[in-house]
Amino acid sequence: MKITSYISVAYLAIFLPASILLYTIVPKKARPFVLLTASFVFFWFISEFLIVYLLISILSIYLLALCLDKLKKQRSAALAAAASKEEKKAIKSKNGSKQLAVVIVGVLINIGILAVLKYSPFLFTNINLFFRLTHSKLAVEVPNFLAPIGISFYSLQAVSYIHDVYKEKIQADKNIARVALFMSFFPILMEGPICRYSDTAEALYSGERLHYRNLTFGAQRLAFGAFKKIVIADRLNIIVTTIFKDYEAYDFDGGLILLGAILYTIELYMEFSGTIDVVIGSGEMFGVTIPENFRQPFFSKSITEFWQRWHITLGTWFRDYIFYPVTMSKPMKKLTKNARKKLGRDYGPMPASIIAFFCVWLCNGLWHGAGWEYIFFGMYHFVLISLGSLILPLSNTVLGKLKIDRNKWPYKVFCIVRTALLVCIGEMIFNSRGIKDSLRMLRIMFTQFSFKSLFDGSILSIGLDAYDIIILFVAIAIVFVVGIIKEKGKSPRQLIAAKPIFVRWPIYIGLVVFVVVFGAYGAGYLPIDPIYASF
Amino acid sequence: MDKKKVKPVVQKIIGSIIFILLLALVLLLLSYWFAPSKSEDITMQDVKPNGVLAEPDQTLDVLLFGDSEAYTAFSPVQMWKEQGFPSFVCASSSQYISLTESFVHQSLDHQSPKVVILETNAFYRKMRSDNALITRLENMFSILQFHNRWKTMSPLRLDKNVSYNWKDDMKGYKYAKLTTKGKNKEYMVKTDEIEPIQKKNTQYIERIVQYCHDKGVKVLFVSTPSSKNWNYKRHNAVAALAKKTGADYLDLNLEKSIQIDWQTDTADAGDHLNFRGTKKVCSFLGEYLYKTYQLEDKRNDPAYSEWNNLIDKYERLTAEN
Repeated sequence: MKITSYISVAYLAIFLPASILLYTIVPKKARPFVLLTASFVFFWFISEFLIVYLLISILSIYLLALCLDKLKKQRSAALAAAASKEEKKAIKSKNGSKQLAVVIVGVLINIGILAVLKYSPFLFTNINLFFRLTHSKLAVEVPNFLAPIGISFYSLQAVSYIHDVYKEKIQADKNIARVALFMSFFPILMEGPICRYSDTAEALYSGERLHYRNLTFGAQRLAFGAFKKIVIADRLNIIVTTIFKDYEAYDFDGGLILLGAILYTIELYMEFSGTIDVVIGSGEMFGVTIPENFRQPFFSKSITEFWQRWHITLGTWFRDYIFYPVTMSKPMKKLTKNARKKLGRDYGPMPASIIAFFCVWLCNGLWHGAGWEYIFFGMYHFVLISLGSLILPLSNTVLGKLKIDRNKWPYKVFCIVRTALLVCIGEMIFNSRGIKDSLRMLRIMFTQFSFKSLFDGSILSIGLDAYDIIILFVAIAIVFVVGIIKEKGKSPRQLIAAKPIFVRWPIYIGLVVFVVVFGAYGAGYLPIDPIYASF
Repeated sequence: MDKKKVKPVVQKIIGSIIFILLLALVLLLLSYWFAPSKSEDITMQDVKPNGVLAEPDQTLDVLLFGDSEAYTAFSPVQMWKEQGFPSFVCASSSQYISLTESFVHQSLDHQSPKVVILETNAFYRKMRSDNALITRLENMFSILQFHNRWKTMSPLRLDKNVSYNWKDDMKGYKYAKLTTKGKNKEYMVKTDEIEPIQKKNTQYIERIVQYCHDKGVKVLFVSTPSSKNWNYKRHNAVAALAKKTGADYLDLNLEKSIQIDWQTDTADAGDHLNFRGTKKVCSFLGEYLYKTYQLEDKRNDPAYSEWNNLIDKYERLTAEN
């Protein structure tokens, strides 16, 4: 069996039900092992023998965390026995260096595997490019490694585990099965979210029995995820693929390129958040709360806020393991101290923050893929966020003079639309076929802008008919309404669950029927591959 | 467990079963509603093989199944022209063997051919568990096949029976005009090695053969010439399976007398045949079938006059070759 997506018959109708059934029939003590076996089997289905990389990661963090634990105990014992302050300082320093070395080894193993498998072809290609540009006859062979699906997700989890043990946020786990399950729980393997040990490990290993409410709520979330992916994302795939692949052949104007950027952003959101719905719903069925990865991102009023609502677990990972360590490093602290003297309290911390942001967005771009277009994508957001911070005092002054109230709805709507458009342009860069292509598309968007293609029928000639467009509007409106309810702090599922059966059941059945009838599957449609699984 | 705890559990189980049954009922009703009244409304992928269902009952002597290798290599009108027996190609692009089984069952409900031909390239199409399940689900709830008809269908019409009125004048053959040169290299290098056929596929093939035999229909495995897809290891595996199941086997890749020239007879550099290749294959295969299975020449049979009328159209369409 080959599983290519969580939103597939293989997963939803075979793998998941079989895992649930097996989980139910075994005794409590055996349940974590059912999950672990299912996870390894799942990994085998998606990446076969590349499972060896996952096993290396698990073993490395398990052993290194125990090593850290031992060093911490040694330090405590030595400190207790130490007589003088100097002696204690020396012990702390020596032991601290050893612990740091262990963490570095852990990071090197886990990020090292990721770097070699994913980035070495990119690096070697650019080395060859450099040789060519300098008219050198030298050339290196570009390696072609197979990377397991989901390596970008579990590698970050591995680093977070080691780091959190080092920082004493969590204790090193002596149970390798629990560490393995935290790293490989099958719903999160392909597209995340990036979980922290403290979020999921205990619940995963507890072997809690299945609850009716968890099963039904989980199933509802699966259905809604399938709705987003099959009805919206797969339907948009045809038109988005045509615009991005053939925009020159069709001679599209800037308006249609912008539409392509907007539609791609919607497609990406529906595909990724739909898959995450399935992932979280699957976890919910087993009584495991997987962290949310999206919080209505298109209600964001700034790019910074957008990244707090979109792919949340990646953002918080970068914040905790790159941004904070960089800003809290000795050179950055020194820089902030000096800058405060010259630039004042408001702008003083900015140089260090901007350097840290640069690191975060360079890594964010690279995390999404080994290519210059991804680095460009990261730098685009770096510039937007940095500019946002720099001009904030100025914009406050201007708004004050114009007597525009930030808290009134017209300004909020303006900010939401502005942020969404900037995000769409970023995603266009992200989905282009390379940096040249993204620059070409940007040029057309800004120099040949016109709405002609949108109204002369061209849009109906590139894969979608009027019926498809109506369904898209209806389906996106449903997701929008659900978003508004969530934004108000209410749970749509709980609201529906509180209704009487003759209201509740038609809603559930209606959702499934909507997916079955209006889903973009079968002849004439091309379902998208899971986009984030390839990162 | 005490009674107080058991009652809600039982209620929940019964509630879940009722919900699932209700959902199934709704999908079934939708299946009736969405089923097309005419076969031309059937989804594009299956429209050609479904043409067999519009053929008059008990009129076809040979039925051929498979993937694109089959519908580009076998031309029933060509064989009719040369040998005079009626046949039909029920092939579809990337056909899974689970779908082949479904087509075999549907067509044998209406036809009693002398021989059923299974093109062997599809034997190697790796089937995932969900392919089989999807085919079953589609057979159970045809809404899954016909869901996209909401765009065009008329209002409520509750009849799941499709009126198969659409006839294919090419009898399932797909004319390939293009030539993309391939290389005339020896790809059938003799060996004793075997390239195993997936276990699941083997089970399906065995079942299909058994079903045909039970209906008194002979089964012939045919490997069409394809320098890209075929080799001696596959030949060995199919030969062994034929022996095991009691089917006949004809590997056209080993028939030098067909004289396939990979520079001129392929549409895509050795993957599929073009019309020049099809003519060569049909000449050989038609003769082989005619003699081996003692087929009748029906060209003078007034009941088959329609087949003679098709020749003109067929020749016009393929005239450039």
